[in-house]
Amino acid sequence: MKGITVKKYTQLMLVLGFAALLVFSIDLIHPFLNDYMRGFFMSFGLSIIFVSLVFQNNKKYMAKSELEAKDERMIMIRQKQYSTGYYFHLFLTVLGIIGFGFFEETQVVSTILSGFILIETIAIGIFGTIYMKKY
Amino acid sequence: MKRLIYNGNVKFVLHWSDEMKNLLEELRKDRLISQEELANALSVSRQTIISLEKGKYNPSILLAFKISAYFGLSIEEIFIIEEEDLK
Repeated sequence: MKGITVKKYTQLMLVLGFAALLVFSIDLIHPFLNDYMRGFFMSFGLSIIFVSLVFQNNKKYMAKSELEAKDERMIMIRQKQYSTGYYFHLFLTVLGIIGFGFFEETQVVSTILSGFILIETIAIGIFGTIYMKKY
Repeated sequence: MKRLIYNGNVKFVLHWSDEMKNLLEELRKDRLISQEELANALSVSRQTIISLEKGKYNPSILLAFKISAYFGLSIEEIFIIEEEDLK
């Protein structure tokens, strides 16, 4: 991502981790989360704090990552990777919409997936318009 | 395979491929520069240098200018484009 360095990205991960742990701590004093969400906030917070600290203290990895983040070939590969991945996701979602739509019990899943596709299509349209104006 | 001349007197054998041809590998070896050194000088990864040399990846205009400035040659002297590629 242009403008965001790997160092800043790992710092952002650290902030998110502490925010998740803060939510978990508040829940310990004033319980408001269910068991699943409590477990999520604790494990998510601890794991991303751990990962970001490991990355930040590995200078060789950070230097390599900074270079790869700016390397135009790597940027092109990432764009192609995400673009191809999105088409795969689109294919699976459409399969899900059709598959879940066959049964009355699972029609709600089909409707939710259709909603996601609609939102994604609108977002892609908006980003397309922004980039068409920008370039 | 074709023999090319750059800088007036040095001759290289160039292997034609489907991608845009370049003399990057020949120039680098001629000047005894490692792929790592060239990558560091151009602020790209070594894999990018390998891809460029193999002709698997065509550089952006900015990277092409950086390469030409590094070797002190014009872009046309390093990267070769055929009429067929322009069609």
